[in-house]
Amino acid sequence: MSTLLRSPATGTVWQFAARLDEPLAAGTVALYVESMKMEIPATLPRAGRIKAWLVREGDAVEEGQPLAELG
Amino acid sequence: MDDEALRELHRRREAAERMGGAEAVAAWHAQGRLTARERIAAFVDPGSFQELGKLAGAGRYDAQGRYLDFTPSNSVMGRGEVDGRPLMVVADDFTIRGGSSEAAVAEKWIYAERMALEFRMPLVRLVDSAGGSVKLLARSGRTKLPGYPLWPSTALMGAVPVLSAAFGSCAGLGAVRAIAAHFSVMVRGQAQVFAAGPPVVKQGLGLDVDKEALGGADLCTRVSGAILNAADDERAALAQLRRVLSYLPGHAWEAPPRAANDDDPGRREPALDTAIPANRRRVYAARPIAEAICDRGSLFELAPDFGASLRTYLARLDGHAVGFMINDPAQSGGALTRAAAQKLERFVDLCDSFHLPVVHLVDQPGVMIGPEAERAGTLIAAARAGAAIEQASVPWVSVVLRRAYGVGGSMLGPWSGPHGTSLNHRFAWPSARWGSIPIEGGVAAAHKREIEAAGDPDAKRRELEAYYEHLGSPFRTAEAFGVVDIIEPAETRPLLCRWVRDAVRLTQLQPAPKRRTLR
Repeated sequence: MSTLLRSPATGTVWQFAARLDEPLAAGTVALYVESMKMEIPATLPRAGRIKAWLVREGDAVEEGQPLAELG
Repeated sequence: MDDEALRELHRRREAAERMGGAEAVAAWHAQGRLTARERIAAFVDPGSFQELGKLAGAGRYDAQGRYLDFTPSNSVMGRGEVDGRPLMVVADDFTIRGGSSEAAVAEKWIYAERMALEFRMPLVRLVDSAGGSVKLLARSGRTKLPGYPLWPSTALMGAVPVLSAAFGSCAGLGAVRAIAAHFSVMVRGQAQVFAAGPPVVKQGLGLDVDKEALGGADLCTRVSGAILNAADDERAALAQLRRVLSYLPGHAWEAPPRAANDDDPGRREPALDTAIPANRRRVYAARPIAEAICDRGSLFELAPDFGASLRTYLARLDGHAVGFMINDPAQSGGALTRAAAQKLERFVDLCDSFHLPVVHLVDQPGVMIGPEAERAGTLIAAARAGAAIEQASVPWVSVVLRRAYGVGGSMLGPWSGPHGTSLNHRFAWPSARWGSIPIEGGVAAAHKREIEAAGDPDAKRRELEAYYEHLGSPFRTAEAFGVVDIIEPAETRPLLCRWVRDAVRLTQLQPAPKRRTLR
């Protein structure tokens, strides 16, 4: 079953930090959200793969908004 | 003595032990749940429970008025001990009439709470109650204006620690008994806490919503903050209650007990010298910093999933219980969100009420900004948190690790406190920067024309930022004694362990209830 990676903060998507479809360990940074002048990492809650990005770099995101589909 | 009377006493006691009956208890166990009596037994020290009011309930009699049978009250209560310290414990028995509050013989659970107040003992509520039942109307033949005039719910909050655990669906009064506590925990996937459950919501609002979405642990401990902590099962919830009690005094007239400590109070932690990344846009992990400073294994986090940009721990320094706060930059950049401000207010009230000296480790970019934060009422929550800090008379020390900006950055500790004598005792690591506004952004705003007029605007902006960066050195602030001292991060624990000795001497001199209670 796929799960969603959600944004840790309200801000903008600053940079992707991982690639699609590669096996990743729990805690790996998937992307950074820029918020309050900080790069806030969105990390994988458990080991898995990123199946699809649901945002693009530069997108404005809200806290809790889905960023990626995990599998 | 009349043997018959003694036999009847034993029969009635046995009936009370049977609770809702063998069938109801078996069905209850089949759901993997403990009964009220099993919960109490698992919670208090073995053999320490002195039950009170065991004979309360409804008796049945034959035509000649002879005792036949007895349905016990669905509230089990009495005096027990945890780690040898006395307390009052009251547990709802859901195997009898759904644990409904109106079937509980209200006098009984209220008596437990009044006894805790009178004898200055912590009160622990093991809640499993669906709220009022309309069936009681048939029994009493009348309605009443809602409320329990003898229930000292608010007075208790200023006098003794009140702790609760929610084990099932808790609605109405049951929900309030779970929520109105200094510490609350609920069993994930098993407990829900709400004003009213799905059937009432369906009838009143026409909405279909399941009970987990309405009041499950995710909602209560992440979104609303109504309950502080979640536990994976009942025994884990009971263990959390015992753990929290270990940091608190028995009542507000005494200071918290000191625990044995084998962790060197003079322990330096060189790893802290590199804990803060040089790149100020980079986050770091907050908890390892707290762990490095406090006594090993002494951290217990309150409300870990709510307002997580502020981490609040019960902790120990050289065995002394303290309230320990640290901003978490990995959560909303460490900003003071609405939730973090509410959490801060509540935590400070708890520490102040029970004489836990406060340690505040600060990396505060300021009050959360943006339309969502404005709609959420972040500023009024921040103002209330600031008021709670100012009303606190417990000893307080702050260490700025990195940022302290704006309104949020002004809330490091009480400026003068309720008695006008509080020291705003502030230290900083060399990585600290502070001000009314951060240099990045602040320069661009204040020097807009100058930057635009330059041949290379970017270079001009960087030059100006470098200039202000030098002015922003914390050493310049220290020259003016705007901070007590800049310290090596590695020496934070020795500094705080010396400080806490003085702080505890003060709390032991002045243990008295505070005029306001936790709100």
